[in-house]
Amino acid sequence: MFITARTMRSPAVVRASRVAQAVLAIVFVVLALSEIGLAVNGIFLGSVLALGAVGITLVFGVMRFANIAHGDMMTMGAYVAFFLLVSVLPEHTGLGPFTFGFPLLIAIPVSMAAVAALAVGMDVLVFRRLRLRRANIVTIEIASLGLAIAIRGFVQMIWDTPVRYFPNEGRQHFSLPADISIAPNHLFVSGAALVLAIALHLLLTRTKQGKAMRATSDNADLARASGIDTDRVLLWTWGIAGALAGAAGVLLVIFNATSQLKPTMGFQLLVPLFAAVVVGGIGNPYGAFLGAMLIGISMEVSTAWALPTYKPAIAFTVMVIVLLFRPRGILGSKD
Amino acid sequence: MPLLDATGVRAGYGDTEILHGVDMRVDAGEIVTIIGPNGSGKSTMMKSIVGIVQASAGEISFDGRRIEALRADRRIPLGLCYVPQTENVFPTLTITENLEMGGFLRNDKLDGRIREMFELFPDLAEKRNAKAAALSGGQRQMMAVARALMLEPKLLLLDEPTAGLSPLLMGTVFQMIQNINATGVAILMVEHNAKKALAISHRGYVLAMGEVRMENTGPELAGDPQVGRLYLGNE
Amino acid sequence: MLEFLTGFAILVGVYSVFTLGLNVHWGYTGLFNIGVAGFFALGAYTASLLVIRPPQSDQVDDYLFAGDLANRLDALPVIGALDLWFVVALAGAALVAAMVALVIGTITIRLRGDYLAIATLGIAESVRLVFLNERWLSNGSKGLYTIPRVFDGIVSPQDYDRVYLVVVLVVFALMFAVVRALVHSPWGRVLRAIREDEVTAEASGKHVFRFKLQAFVLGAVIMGIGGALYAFDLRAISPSAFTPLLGTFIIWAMLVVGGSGRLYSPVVGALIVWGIWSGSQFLPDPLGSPHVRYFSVGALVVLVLMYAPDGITPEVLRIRDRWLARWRPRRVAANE
Ligand SMILES: Nc1ncnc2c1ncn2[C@@H]1O[C@H](COP(=O)(O)OP(=O)(O)OP(=O)(O)O)[C@@H](O)[C@H]1O
Ligand SMILES: [Mg+2]
Repeated sequence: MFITARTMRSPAVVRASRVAQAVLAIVFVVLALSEIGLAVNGIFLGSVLALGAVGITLVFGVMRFANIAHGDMMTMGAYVAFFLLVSVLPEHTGLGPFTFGFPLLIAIPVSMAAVAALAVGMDVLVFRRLRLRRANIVTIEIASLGLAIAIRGFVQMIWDTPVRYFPNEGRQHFSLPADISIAPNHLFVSGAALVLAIALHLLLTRTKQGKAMRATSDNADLARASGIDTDRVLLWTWGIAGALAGAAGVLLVIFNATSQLKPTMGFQLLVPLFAAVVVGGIGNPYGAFLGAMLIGISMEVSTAWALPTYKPAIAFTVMVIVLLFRPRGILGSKD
Repeated sequence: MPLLDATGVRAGYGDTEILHGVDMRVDAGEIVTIIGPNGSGKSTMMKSIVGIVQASAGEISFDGRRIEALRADRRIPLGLCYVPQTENVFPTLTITENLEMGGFLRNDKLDGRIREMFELFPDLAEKRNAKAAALSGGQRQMMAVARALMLEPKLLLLDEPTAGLSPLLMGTVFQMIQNINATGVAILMVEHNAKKALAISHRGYVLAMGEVRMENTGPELAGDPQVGRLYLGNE
Repeated sequence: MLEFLTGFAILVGVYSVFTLGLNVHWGYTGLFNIGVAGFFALGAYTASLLVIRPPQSDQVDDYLFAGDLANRLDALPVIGALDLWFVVALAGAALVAAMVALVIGTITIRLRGDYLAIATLGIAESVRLVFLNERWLSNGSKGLYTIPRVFDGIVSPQDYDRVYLVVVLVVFALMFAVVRALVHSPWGRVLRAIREDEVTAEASGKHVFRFKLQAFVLGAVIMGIGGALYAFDLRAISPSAFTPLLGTFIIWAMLVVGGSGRLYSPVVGALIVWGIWSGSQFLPDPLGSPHVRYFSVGALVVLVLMYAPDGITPEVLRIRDRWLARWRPRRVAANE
């Protein structure tokens, strides 16, 4: 009674909110179209964000906490690829129109596997024990903050802090009408992200393990009462989220015009990543994808007026605006 | 030998103990009903049998095996399935997917069993590709029962299967429970429609304040003046 | 050595202020703030901007607003000697932190806990970006560096650290006393009830949102004052001091290691973590590198959460008691 009285809204308020939402949507579309070149870049940025955000949201779905270490897992993926490219794989750059060479195509799956293993290890060694102790969610979340810093420290111990670069060579952009210029690497990034997103969609909707993941995310008790081993589902989820984070980390590097890596690159992306997750509706992978696109486009289009360094603040602002009107995000229905 | 045999079960949430040593038994082929006031621990008893709540003391055996130390997902394969009182479907999964999750432990093709469920619950067949969140209360109850039947359990635990249903539908559900029972599935249910439930039950328990207060055959319990006065609102 | 220890003690004092604020948020109310750095930076910059001199030449520095209170108030007779500008600076820091906390809290405290975490992280990053990019406001990445000393003119610069240590301890003690009184008041009891079980607290008619918002603002005020204390210690601040790592994580590490929800524990945590952090620089090279420091403090937090969820203060007390128990009988015996 107490709660409903306060959250219940009068029809007038609901109508005003709907109008405001429609106006905001129109403003967004107009701004994006007026800076179509930047908006296209935003889609590319959005596809990198999507891979990270989907992982965060999947983990949230089954564990009910926002993994702060996710950004640093991406960093780890990037550095694993860096190690492979400069120390293990043959030297080669300029594959087709891209700045990188064919070794990257090998480095991506290896990075994915490495970060997946890291994520599974984190669950087995840390999160599972905290769960068994019935630790409170925020304790688990602080542990993920600790892991984030530990992972970054580890990366710095091995590769130090100076900026590093993937082997690369300069490449011409594709020019399209309406002032749109597209870096070939960006097409690769988006293509790879799309392939991974489709693979994830098929996994979630076509395989037994994927459906069990969704079931566990819906209702873990009922999943267990259906005979689903939810601990195993959790490991799968961590593995998939880790693999996506690994890919996102590598793609984030080649997304950048100079292919540079820094130990802080992942953590710095945390605000946009969380914004994407929240905007889309926390726990919903499709929402995370949508949210990532929205945030990516907003961040890029904002550079028409604001300094590019403000991009994370723009992501945050968009998130706050969406939360004001839709406290559960655009596609969110869960608690 | 009883199918389910629980003795001295104690369980609760955090530091509060809700069940203070409950004895309960279900024989093969039986319908057993638990009645009792709100908050008396009926659902908690069901949860401790399934393993969602861990019993802190007492023994639970099922089909001759001790199960109280097993995790929920290890108890289900032994042949017991459970329909919770609330949140008993996966809302973002489709009807078909819900049924597939019900049959998660089956290694054979699920299609045959799913088709049988759709024959049993024609309402669900029509909505097979809809999300479970879109079902009406009654349909959801059907969905939940169908999900639990996917594994062809020996014992079906139903927590208030008729809650929120129209009188007509309530009759249908009780009929359905009898039909399921007729195929050899034992049933342990919690019900607030005590008279109707006890009428179709072989035996019944009255649970109050986390303790079994009475145990008798269904009809006798329904006719017991004390039960009537205390829990059924009869004068 | 003494100088090092004094500097060390000042920072432990300053960080104790932050952990006190974070303890109000997390330890007593269960608010998950991972944007401590935001309130830290707001406090530091507000206090500094209020008192520093305007830029000497516009070739070097770009900031437009400088309160110059240190000079203006000092020029006043009698009051000038009291260095009231210091108090004004702390009050300004507190006020700005309170206003930001009020806005962000109003929007996000109603939502589930993770949203507050994300929002505070976002605010902290946004605040840092503003101070980094808006050179007219904060001189950009160069930061502010003409921050005056308290009691300048009375105390010689060599003695500043020792005097400032006293100032920090006095300010900390005052805030500690306030928090202590509040925690033991009916208000504090409601907060604990909320932390334990929000639904029940709401059902028993407590306006949970209002209490949480008050606690959020109070904690932010303490953090803002901490930021001001930090600025008058280093007397030069730049955005690089307010990264999530240095401005937030280390403070969480202190709270976790010390143990949250008790008044004294965070001080223990501040001492231990800051001891490790600044002590490890004396280790031989591979171990003394900042990278190893990040890794080990991150790992320490995880290990404490796993194996000593109440922090290590109870362990420390246990060891102390064991020693006391061992010593006492002997002393008694000696007395006889
Ligand atoms: N998840 C939970 N956490 C804490 N306490 C709980 C939880 N679920 C139930 N309880 C408490 O346990 C007691 C028994 O609850 P239970 O659900 O077993 O009652 P019940 O007999 O099924 O009641 P009803 O007829 O209303 O369904 C109640 O006091 C309830 O408040
Ligand atoms: Mg119940």
